[in-house]
Amino acid sequence: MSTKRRIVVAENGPVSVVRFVDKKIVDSASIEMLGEELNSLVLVDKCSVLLLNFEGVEFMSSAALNKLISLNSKLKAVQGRLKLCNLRAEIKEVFTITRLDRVFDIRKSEIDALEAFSL
Amino acid sequence: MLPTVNIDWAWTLSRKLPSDMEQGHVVIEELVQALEKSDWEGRDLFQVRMAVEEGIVNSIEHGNKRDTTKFIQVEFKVSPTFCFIRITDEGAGFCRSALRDCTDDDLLEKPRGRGVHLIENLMSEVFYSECGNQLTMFRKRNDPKLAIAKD
Repeated sequence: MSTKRRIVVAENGPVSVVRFVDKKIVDSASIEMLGEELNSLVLVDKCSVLLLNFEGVEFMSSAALNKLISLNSKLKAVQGRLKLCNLRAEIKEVFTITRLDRVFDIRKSEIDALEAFSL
Repeated sequence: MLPTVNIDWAWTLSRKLPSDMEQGHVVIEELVQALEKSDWEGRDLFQVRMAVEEGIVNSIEHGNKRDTTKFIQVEFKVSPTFCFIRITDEGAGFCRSALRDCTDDDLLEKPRGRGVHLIENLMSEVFYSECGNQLTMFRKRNDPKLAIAKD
């Protein structure tokens, strides 16, 4: 797997579980790097079943949301699957306000998400 | 009209910044610390932080178009119950009514307009100057108008 600086990836069966290094995802250079690393998971590392675990993420800007949308598009193009979990309530509310909760499959915990993948 | 006249502000800041988000993050951290000192926390604190982050990013990126010869002016005021934020850029301004709703089905996955939508849904009152280069917003703590968005 290619080197990653903004994310940590662990394999759980067929699911690549992604955690974020930064507690606050706001710095524009870091967000650009994050986007490139997420996309490279699909395009370079050929991961097609991804779970983004937001445990520890305290804050993220709308620029970071755009990177998630881009990742989702890349995955759709290869018939991949994406789920999100462990969003703190305030970040989950941001997805609801922007109606991105209709775009992303958001699960409460990693266990819930992994179970949903296997259904 | 913004209810700012009779508020006993615990902290104020007025500063001119270059079009550089690093400088923007410095004043955002100062604002967050002032809010925490006035006992803001949780959802209120998160939402003000998000609104000011989006407002400053828009001013630098879309207003000043990252032109390093242009500046933004920020004005923050904090009390235990209210927070006032004004951000002015040197750009040509934007027309709010020309910006479509980013939550429309066909725009849901497009990158534009999400910051403005968030600002307008996270703050108690939001105003744009007539020429569109000044954003003024006001947040009341525990504002019942900003009920928690349901799933």
